[in-house]
Amino acid sequence: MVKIKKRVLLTSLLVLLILFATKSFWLEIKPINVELEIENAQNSTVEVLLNKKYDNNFLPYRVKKASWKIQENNLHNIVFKISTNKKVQKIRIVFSDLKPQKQIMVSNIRLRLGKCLINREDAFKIDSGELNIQNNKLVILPYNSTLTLDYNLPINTRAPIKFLFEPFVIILILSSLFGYKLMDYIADFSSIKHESRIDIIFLCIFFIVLFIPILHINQKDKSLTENRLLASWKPLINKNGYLNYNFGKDFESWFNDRFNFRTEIINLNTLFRSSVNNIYSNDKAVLDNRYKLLSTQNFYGLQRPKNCNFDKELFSYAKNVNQLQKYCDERNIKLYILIVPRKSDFFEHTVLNLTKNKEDKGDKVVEYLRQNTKVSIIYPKKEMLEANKITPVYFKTDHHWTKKGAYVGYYHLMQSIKKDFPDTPLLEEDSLEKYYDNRVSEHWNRTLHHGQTCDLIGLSSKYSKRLLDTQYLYYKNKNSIKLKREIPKLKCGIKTDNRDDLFYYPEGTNKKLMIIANSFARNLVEFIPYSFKHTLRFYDNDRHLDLNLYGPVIEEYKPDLLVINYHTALLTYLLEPFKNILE
Amino acid sequence: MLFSTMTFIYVFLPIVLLLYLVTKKELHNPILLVVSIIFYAWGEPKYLAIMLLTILINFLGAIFIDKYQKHKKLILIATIIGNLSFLIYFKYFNFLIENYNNIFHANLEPLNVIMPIGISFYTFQALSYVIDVYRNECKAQKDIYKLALYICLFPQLIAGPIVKYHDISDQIDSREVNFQKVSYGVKRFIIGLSKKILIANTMGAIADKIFIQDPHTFSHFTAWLGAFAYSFQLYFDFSGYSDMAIGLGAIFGFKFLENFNYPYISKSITEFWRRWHISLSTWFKQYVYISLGGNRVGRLKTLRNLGIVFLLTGIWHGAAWNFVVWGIWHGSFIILEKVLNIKDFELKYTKLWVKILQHLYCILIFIIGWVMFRSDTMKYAWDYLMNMFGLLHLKPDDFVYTIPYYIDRIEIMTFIVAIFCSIPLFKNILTIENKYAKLFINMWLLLLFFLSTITIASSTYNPFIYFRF
Repeated sequence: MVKIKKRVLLTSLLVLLILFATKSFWLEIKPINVELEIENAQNSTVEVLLNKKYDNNFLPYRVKKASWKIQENNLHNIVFKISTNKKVQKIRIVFSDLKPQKQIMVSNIRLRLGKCLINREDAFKIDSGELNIQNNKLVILPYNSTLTLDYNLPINTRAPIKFLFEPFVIILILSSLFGYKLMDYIADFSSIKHESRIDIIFLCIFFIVLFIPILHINQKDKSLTENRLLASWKPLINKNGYLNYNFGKDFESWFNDRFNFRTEIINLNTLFRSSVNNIYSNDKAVLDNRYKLLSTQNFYGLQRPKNCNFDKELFSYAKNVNQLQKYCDERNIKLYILIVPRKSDFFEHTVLNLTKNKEDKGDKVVEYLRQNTKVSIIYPKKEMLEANKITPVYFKTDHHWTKKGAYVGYYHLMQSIKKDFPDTPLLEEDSLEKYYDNRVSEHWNRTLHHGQTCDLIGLSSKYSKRLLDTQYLYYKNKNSIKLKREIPKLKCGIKTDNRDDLFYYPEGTNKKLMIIANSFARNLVEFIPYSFKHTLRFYDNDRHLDLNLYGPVIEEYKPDLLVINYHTALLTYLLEPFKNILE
Repeated sequence: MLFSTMTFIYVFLPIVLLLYLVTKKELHNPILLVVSIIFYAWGEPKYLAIMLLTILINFLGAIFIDKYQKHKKLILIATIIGNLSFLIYFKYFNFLIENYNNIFHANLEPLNVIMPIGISFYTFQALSYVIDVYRNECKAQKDIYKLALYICLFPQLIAGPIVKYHDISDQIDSREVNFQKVSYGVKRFIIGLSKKILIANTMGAIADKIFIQDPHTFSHFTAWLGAFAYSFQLYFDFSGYSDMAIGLGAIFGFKFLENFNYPYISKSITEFWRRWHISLSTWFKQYVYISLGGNRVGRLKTLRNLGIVFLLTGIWHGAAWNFVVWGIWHGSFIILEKVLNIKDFELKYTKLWVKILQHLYCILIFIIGWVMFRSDTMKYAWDYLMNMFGLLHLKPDDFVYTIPYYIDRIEIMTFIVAIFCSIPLFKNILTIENKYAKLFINMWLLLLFFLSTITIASSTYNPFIYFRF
């Protein structure tokens, strides 16, 4: 009798576990529909976040969200379907890629399928910009490209849940039959009665753990922290009836990206290892826990001397730069190369200086180029080191320079430009409004403010907040309203996107500027377009300074000045791309 | 498929265990055969054909040996050639071409082939079967499915142990699955997984950081650190895999022989080879050394036989000269110990300091061997060894990294754990009967399983880096 009771009890536990694991089959949770109407917000992205708690901490594990990219300028009625089985308390709407100082209108914000309707427009608040209510519409004038709109009253709503009786009964009966049979089978082990309970419990835990990762498969298409699309399901037999010979590898990629508790486990591993070690690294990045500092792995590579080929490499740098100079001279273009010094110089005694060889390859290249070319090389290392004594010129948790670092770079670039074009106006630092923030600006248009290197090391925003212990200097330009920015569209057919810019500033000099640069120029273009009427900026990471691409642009845009802006780690871009077109 | 992946542990294994443990005994072999084929075909299905051909050749070879006893030697030779031709083609052909080109200044194009995973292991298993039948140590298997199961049984398919047919033939026909075996198997599997993931991979990370560099750019201490780290990586990787195979075998009711027996505590190279990769050394002993006459053919021929065995052992490990030299290196010391009669020496001198010296001698020899084994070229191995022994001219200004770069706190702890796990301190932990000790061990094993899982899961983290600095 006791044995039967035990068997029933264990079966019941197993059945409960199976029911829990299969709840999506018998509990249908309908999404909460958030509807709103937007006008005048072409090319921007709207994201709606629902928080389970009534506070302003929209932490990833508390938040459910959906986003929408607006294509047209007209009135847009958008329905966001957000699935959650928890009660939600607060709503936030985040706009990104907005045009600063361009008015947008939001109206008819409502929650459907829940109990709540948002009917108090006056309860909204924005983080930066001006908010007015006209004819039941929220009229917003954003100051930046990103804007957060919070509804300050509790929304207290829950998605409707439908209980599906038939599947529930089928799963209940099948799992009971299976569970009882399994228990029966285990009980039939000839020697089990002699075994210790410790081993029985051990085996039960082991077998339960084996099934946990497959209990839930992440269905999302992309991972924000990994900055990539997740592997998709590729069946053994494809739509055309052909056998997929890579099924094993495809399945592994799919499962590795989507198993249950993946994010939590990765975070746990990073936290555990970084708490034991002062320094924790993976193949992409390094975390120095003492200084709450992160770096990408390539810093090590940077400092590794390549003695055998370095002289040859230096010669190639000079040869290529001279050829580029010749190319620009033929077109009456003045060439400037702005080189950003390495991050490790600004963080002595940290993980970035684990190498014994402190020799900087960047220093050598700059010195060699200055001696062997006539190009203006701007390398503001000394000046940035001075500025760094007062306020950081590099983010600790991101690989980019700060606004302050970028301003120093801009200032010294302008000193060189003014020698050739004395009339070019300089944006004085004193004319800018200053403020401090601990967030990393590179990601203000995302929900992540901790810096990209946190993602590389595998720390989610929930945990990486503790790293944000530094206040960075930011600038606000009162004249930003006069600056027009658009995505360049050129006849020569080069593909452009929102990482490229065409600026127009009426008070700048008449000279045309073209910048070819990587993401470091994102902070640089906070200043440089105010000196020129026309500034064309190309984001170069994928284009590798390829003159096959840029040649036609230069012929069409006809710049007076060409600025190439790279970090020391990317100087090798100067070696290859000109080969084919210039030689 | 590899054991140390999320797919194996959390998809393949639970499904196979569920199928195997809840079905009748009659279905056990078919289930194991099907899942073993899926296991092998998972990564590269086209190489399944090679394995199936190997099964067919050996099945027919053994049947013919059994049937045509007069010509059995000829059939055996033909079957062995058939088996080795696959191995030579996929593993050694490009090595032979490369050397031919070097010697005769020829310009033969290397073949564009990738070696099928586990071919060295399953070829040797197949050879063991056909030679056992030839020697009348067992009967030819009439059921091709059972022979297929022996050759492609997934627990030992990819990295051994090399199971001899005569050791397992009865178990293929009939075996018992019981709670004790399942419990032991699971524990052994967790121990193996932890050895591989927590120790071997950590040691591998240290070794990789050092061996990737020019030996002129690190200190003598770093060179020794790299050599020890690699020695631990190799042992825990290989023995961990063997533990997982033995554990999985036990879950399915098989009893595989041990493959490692704390080799790093050996006092001589002869003893080392009795403890290291036992299934390979016994395979060579039973099928090569004895076939050549063993030690019954006179002293000189015995030494010759030992030399041949260790040359082949080196070649078996890889198609490169450093493996050949590594085999010769070990073989030379085995021969030397035979000439000096190390057994008598051990009986004669029993003092502690002599034993310590013997251990140091053995450690030195196998560590030098592992440096050759790890190096990409013999030139690199030579420079590395010169650095270890202070014979390489070094300039401290050329050193690139400080010691914290090579080894962090977790790695130091793992290094210490590796030392303790290399000696038989925890040898009998799975047979302890005291319930508190058992409880502690079980909890500890679950913790190890959890730590291994989070390490494997974290390796799936693959952020996209669109910048280069």
